[in-house]
Amino acid sequence: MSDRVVMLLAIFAPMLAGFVTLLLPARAALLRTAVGASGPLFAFVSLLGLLGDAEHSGSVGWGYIPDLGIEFFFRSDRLALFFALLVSGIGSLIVPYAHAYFRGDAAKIGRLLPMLGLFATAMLGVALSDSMLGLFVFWELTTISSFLLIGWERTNPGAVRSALQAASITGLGGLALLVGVTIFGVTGGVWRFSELGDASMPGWAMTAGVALIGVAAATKSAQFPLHGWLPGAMAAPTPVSAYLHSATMVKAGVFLLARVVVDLEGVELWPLLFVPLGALTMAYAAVQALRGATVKRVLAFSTVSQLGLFVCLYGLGGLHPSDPSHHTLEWPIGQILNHAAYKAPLFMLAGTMAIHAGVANIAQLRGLARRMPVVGWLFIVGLYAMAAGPGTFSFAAKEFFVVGAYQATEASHHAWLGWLAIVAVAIAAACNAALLVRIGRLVFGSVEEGSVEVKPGSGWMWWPAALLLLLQVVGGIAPGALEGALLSVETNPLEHLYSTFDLFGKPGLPLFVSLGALAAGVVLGLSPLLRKPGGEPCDHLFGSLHRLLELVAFAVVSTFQTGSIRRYLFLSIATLGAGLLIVMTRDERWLTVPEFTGLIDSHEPAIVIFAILAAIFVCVSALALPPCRLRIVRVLVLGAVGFGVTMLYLINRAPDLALTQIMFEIISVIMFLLVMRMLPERTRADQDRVDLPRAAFAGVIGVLVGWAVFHAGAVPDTEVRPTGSAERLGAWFLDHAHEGSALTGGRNGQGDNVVNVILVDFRGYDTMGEIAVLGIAMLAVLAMLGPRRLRPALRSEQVRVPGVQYGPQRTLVSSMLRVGMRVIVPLALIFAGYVFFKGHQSPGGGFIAGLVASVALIVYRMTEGRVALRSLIPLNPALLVAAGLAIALVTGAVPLVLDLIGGEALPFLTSGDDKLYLNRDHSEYFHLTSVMFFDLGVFIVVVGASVGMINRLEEELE
Amino acid sequence: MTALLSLCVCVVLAVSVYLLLSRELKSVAMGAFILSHAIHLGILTMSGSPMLGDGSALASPVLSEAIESEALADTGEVRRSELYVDPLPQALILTSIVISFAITAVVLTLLVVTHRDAGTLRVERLKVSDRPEPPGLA
Repeated sequence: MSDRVVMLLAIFAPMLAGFVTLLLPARAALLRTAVGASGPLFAFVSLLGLLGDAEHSGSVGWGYIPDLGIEFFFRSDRLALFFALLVSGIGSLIVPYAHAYFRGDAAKIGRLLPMLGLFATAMLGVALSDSMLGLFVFWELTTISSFLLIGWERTNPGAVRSALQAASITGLGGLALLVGVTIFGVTGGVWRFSELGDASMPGWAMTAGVALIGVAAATKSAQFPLHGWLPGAMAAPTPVSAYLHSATMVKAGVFLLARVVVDLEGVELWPLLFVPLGALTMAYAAVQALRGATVKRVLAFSTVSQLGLFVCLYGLGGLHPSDPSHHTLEWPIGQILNHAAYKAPLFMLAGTMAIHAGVANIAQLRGLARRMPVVGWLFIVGLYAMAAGPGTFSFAAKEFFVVGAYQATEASHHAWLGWLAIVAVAIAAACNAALLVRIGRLVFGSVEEGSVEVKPGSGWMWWPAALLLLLQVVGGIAPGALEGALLSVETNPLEHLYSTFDLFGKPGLPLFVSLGALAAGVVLGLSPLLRKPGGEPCDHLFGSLHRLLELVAFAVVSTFQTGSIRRYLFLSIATLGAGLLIVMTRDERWLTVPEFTGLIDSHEPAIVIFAILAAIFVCVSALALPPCRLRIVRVLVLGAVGFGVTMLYLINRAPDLALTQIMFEIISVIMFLLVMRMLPERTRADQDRVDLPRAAFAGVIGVLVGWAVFHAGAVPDTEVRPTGSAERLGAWFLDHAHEGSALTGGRNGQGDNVVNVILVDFRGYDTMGEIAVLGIAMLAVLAMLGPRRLRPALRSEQVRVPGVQYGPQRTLVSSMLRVGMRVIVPLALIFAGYVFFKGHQSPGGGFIAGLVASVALIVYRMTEGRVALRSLIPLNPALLVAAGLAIALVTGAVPLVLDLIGGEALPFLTSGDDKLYLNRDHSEYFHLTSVMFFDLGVFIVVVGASVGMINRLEEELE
Repeated sequence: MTALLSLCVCVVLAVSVYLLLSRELKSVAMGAFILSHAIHLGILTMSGSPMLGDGSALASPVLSEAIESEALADTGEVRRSELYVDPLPQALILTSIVISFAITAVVLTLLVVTHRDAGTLRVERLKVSDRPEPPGLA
């Protein structure tokens, strides 16, 4: 298998395994656990196989939209593989531990496993992604799965709040990451981390990218003051805390820094941002850990402190000491492994204590070593490693940090950052040692009377922890055993790992600092300082911010969302007008009067007179609309505007528009009349007073837009078009409407009516969408009006309220109209057919034909009633619309499957045509084209939708 | 022709805005309806006038052999963009007319339903139901 397939399988195996557990029998908890653990285990084993080639790994994967940088590329270099192995390895241990933790409770295990699988997949994706956007997607997926896991106790408001807090903060960090990588992608053209080093980007982009990636890392890795979510995240079950919130997910931010440190550490901002951030977090969180009241809170803050150390470490990478051989700061893998190897066991043991002895608070630890000897001793070993006691791997790791910081003090710039890091790590080390002393005194203290009974537990509860702690001891005393595995993945390898004894052989300031901090910690632990448990100010930071946000949102919403449609419309229109005004005043060409050839630039008197009359007709009828009082009169005036517009279309050489407009105008007026009959006449109170400010505003908007339109129309586009840009699109359509275009191999077109060819052929997709809109509008009308309701009198003859008109309303149909319609309807339908078939060559087409037929059918419905229409068209209008859409779709889809009958498959909606000869000498023919069937679909949809809507509205009146 | 049409756009748009801002929903619906007329005329106007300065005019966008052979005889070549008006704005407007018809139908039905449920079409009285709740003191 190729590397990319292996990586893809490894990434998705935990999620798949997690989801497969849902298919297993609910009671088979052990089976579920086994399957759930197999996912991360598979990932671990298959990724181990890639380790040999890690040095030569390239970027492999699949493109999706490469032009936009959207692709899924993976990379199995040492850093990625180490992180992925950490995630999958701890994942394989956590699943059995969780089984023991939940005491085999099938329901809880069943719920946990898919979430854990999803998380492991997301985390492996973060580790192995080389594409920046791919990493972003997996990054957000970790946020989602962490949200689900923190909110494990769904009915506990505190847990839900913590989950929301974690999701909000880390989610915002994710957005910062997206913006950061987009800046890299847009300015430098790189969308993969492996190309970041070669990209040339402007300085501001590097700085902004560093800052945004810094925000992302600081949220995910809980840096001060954004760390508040991590102690809150302890609401999750202990296996989750051990896995997500100590060993893996919180390292994602650190991992991100490790990904880019080599390429970005040269940026001025890098050390200035990360060293103080990490140092502050390290010291502050260590002090808070000492004040924690519960075991998990203590562990959470010590995790924050350790994350601060990582961030500080990467920040120091940006400080280049004067002697290049001293540059040993990039030793990330050892540091990360070190932390995972003591913090995950501590969490697991904390969970064991909570489950078996009910220990949650620090004070309850008293006498633990007697009650649960194995767990108690292991816990102390873990704390000893956390305090970086001599003889542990941790000691070497911390010592290396101090050495690195000490070397940074020799840097040419910002040497003070090195001293800052040394002070911070000394404080943190002292606090950790103090914690060891205090908890050690409790654990080995005398057992209180009546302490909680210890329930017997399974070995699964402690042996994963013991296994991980073994790494600490081996790494501290005989690091040679780990050298082979560890140095092969280290990005910046040392010659060999150092044990405690090696380090004692090199006395100097770093060793003095480490030992001094330990001694100070022991003194601090015995002293009464910082003993009182308490909260910290940041506990309430998120709550207060949340509340502030709610208040601001309420203020904004109550200002703008007043519920008044007048205000909404006014704001929207005024914004548009203001935008237009700004554009116009910025370019003085807008302010000059363009050359134009008179009001009507025609020499034919008939056209001049017709045009002036039509314009007057439109303007006068529009202006007459506001003062009109009677609703029926207003509707007629409204129709008059439309008819005037139709005339203007005709003068502008737009016959298709004129035909469509006049038909729609008829249908719209009918619809308005029907609706107005259902609505009340305007009362005196509704009557608009002459509203001068409103009229002035409307006038200003009208003049602004009118002026813009005039300018755009009067200035020839040769003057304003940027040089080198293409000609008008319309010219292309004129040239290809009949002949077809080379782009489609000479197909498409074959019509003379260019407007119709554009609609049903070149832009067939648009028309497809448009008839779908028409169908949806009809469904909306039917749905809003609800099922047809009969009047009360028709249901029951007994109840009669005086003054209410019962039964169908008398129709106001003259016999003249009825007789006339019997003649006109068939003629109109025939005319519709004519317009339909002529449409491709001369004005007409499916839309217009459909409208002609609709007008005929609607008038027929009005004169003859519902039943008559029903007998004429037995189909439900909604079915008719569906049939029309189906015809159009099928016509469009035929070219896709042409290869089934021996042709060549063509894109959706490609048209074909042929001549149907009507006589022998081939002089007369009918032009048969496939778009006719598409047009038939359009025709049916238009008829179904307009007749259906008006029929339903009429039913409402009956 | 451009000036005349721009004038119409100006007047129809002003009336439409005036109606949109009225106090009663029936008028608002009418304003929305004639707004589409103003926009359509605007698009057509911006695509240029069919009238040429010398008194002749472009033809409607239906290809015709008569027109093209005449042009061939006069100038020796056929440049269709100098013979016919631009078809693209017309296709766009035709689409827009259909969509605005669909919207009109939905708006009118909304009026009926609003009147049925709320018993009034006065904008000020419909206002109350849309107010957000102040945030709770959690």
